Amino acid sequence: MATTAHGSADATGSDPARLEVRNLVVTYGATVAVDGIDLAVLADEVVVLLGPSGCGKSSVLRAIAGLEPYGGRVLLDGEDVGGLRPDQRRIGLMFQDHALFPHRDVAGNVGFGPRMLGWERERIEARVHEILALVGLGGLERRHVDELSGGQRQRVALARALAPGPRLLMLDEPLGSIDRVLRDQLLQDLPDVFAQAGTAVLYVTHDHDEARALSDRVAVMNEGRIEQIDTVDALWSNPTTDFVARFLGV
Amino acid sequence: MSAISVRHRRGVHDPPRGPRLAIAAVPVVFLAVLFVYPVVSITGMGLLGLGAGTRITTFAEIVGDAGIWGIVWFTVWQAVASTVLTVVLGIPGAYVLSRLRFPGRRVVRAVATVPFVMPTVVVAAAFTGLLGSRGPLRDVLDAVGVPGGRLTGTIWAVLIAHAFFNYAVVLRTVGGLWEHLDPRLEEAARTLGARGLTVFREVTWPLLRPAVASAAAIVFLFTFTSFGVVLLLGAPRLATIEVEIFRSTTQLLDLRTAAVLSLLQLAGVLAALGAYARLRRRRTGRQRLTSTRIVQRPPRTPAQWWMLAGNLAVMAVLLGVPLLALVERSLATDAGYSLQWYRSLTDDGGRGGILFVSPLTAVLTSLRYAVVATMIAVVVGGCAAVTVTAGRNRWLDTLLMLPLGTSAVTVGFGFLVALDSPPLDLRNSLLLVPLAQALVAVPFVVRLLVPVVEAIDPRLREAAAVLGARPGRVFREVDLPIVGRGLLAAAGFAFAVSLGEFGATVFLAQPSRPTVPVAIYRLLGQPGAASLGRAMAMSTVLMILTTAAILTIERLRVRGVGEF
Repeated sequence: MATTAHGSADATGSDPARLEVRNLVVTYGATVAVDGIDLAVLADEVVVLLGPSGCGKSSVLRAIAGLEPYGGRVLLDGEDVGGLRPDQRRIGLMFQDHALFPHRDVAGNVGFGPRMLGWERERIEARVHEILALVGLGGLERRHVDELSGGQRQRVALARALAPGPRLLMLDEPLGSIDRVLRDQLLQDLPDVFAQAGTAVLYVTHDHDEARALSDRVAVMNEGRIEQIDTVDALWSNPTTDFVARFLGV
Repeated sequence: MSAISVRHRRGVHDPPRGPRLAIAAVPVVFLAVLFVYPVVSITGMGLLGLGAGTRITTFAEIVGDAGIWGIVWFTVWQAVASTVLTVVLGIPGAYVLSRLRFPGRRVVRAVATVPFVMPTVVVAAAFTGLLGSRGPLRDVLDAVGVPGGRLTGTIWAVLIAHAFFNYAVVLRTVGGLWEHLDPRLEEAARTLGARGLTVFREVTWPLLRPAVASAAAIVFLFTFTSFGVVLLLGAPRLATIEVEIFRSTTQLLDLRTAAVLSLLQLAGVLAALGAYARLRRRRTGRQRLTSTRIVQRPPRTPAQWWMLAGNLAVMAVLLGVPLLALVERSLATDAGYSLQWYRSLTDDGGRGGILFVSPLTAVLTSLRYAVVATMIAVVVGGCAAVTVTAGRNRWLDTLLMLPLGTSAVTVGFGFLVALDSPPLDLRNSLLLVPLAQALVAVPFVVRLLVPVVEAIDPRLREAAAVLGARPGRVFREVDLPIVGRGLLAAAGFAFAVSLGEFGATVFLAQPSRPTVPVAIYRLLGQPGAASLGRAMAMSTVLMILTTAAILTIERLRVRGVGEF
């Protein structure tokens, strides 16, 4: 096993972090969206990437997923995935506004990843069943995605990202577009789902409440850079930069 | 499929019932007299022999003739082959123009649309110039073993010309959806382990399929009813039903057979339209349309660069080369390049001339007819659009589309059969040709205007009313300014269609008053370099006039307008 790299201060023991990002840079033409960030997520950890809209959070996720070209390195379990296409990285990504396949029913959406892995039909069905039960949508397999409520769509998107058993689950503003009551309900359920899925989680949001409720650690991001990474308590009690203090309202 | 339309709620500010009925009456009467009545006359002649003269062939004899079924078979299979070729060429082109952002994209898109509105005779002239026995490819074709070094007169010329014509249909219909397809759906598939072709097969294709199906249906319809291209490029061996109706009527004077063929044609068109309507109703899930700003990205991967380069090359060869060849041929004389053929356009060719008039006179005739036809088409189409939009008139919508599918030749033949004897004798009326051209143009006008009228937010009218505008004033202050640009675009389209109309006009134009397309047709039928050169020069003039009209429309185009 490779030794933990410099910059992943929280990676303990001799195991490499599940995800490690070193000096990540993403540019769109002349615009620098992500300006050299370092980040690590442990195998059983939930890290929340918190920041105002337009600060480059989504670009970080897209780069890690392999959807954007980037500079720097992305390592999964110590292995550099720079040469791998998105379909080879085995990272789950839950998109902003879900991006559910409109031409497939719930089971068709959730079973898509396992099908790509070449699983047999019985195994796919069992997996779909299991994951839908986990997110609280048991029995909705044959429902068309048009007929789902906002909260249900959310859960289907989550289930779809989890179904192939990703090494890392990334969520991009997953609670962005739904109303308060539903949001609070999902916020309660999510830690349980993360724990049962047993995967590392990188969670992007601009919302303090979500960061407080879900995270083991929070990375505050601004203008393409990470300002501070810490636990919730440490962050709120001891912000190290003016921006963090102002953004957190302390 | 393109625009998300706001269907009107019937409100207090809609025009009262009286004017509404008057507005609805315009397209209804127009269609009843100029379309339904002629079709009924054709039916009577075909089935019962009414007015067919003294020939005593029966319906059964005509239908029992194996020759007829050979023509029907050829018509169907060349349409299928043309459709497949066009769709296969068009889908990658649609991808490039809808998903990749590159400098000049809008210009390429506008230019690629031009062939669709090119008059059939211009296209036929261009391909005669390119692939004919005097063409620049003669030696190349000869070298690869094509007899006589020419493709004209073979199915290949017909198929290539059909692809040239209808490429833009696929580009517009499929690209119109593709450029709004949420790219995150494909990205989601990729993060879930799908790669390259699997993403296309599993996500992109199922979502595009309705657009591909309707593009294919439209192309099939257009090529099934193809007339000018087959008449000019397929002669003398190849004939579609359209061409055979024309030959039966004008050369064999066998109106009964022509009428029976028209009925077969009508049946085929109705079947195709029915299939098209069914395809449009069947949908694969509601899709969220996404802004093109998100969808379109600069080419990044080598594959994307190859797609871009490859498709631009296809467009240049398929769309650009024939039109360039037309211009080149119009300048080529035995003594090198000169404007000789253009100078000869003022020459009427003397008493024995094939045109009776100078080509320049034909241009003036064409322009005059087209202006009148445009006015008729805009008034009738405008009234129809308002009526269709006001709801409960889906049948009118369908009826209005029929002349488009029925084909120009049937329109021309129908006029000939129905409108040359009392109670309606328009044989010598100068309105006959413009009326036929307007009938051909009306479906386009309606298609262009309906989305524009539908897109007017009813609250705007309500706001105007609340602010004190009376009903007539509301129309003037709200509807008209918003619809104005669409109206101009529709007028431009109607003008271009009328200017290039061939199928109906060739039946109806008086021999001494040929329009430009008719004149070109006659010149192409003459032997000798002089006739060919003049045909090429006239075609170039017509091409420039049409392009000018279309580029004006492109500038006036309102977002989400038009389905072709």
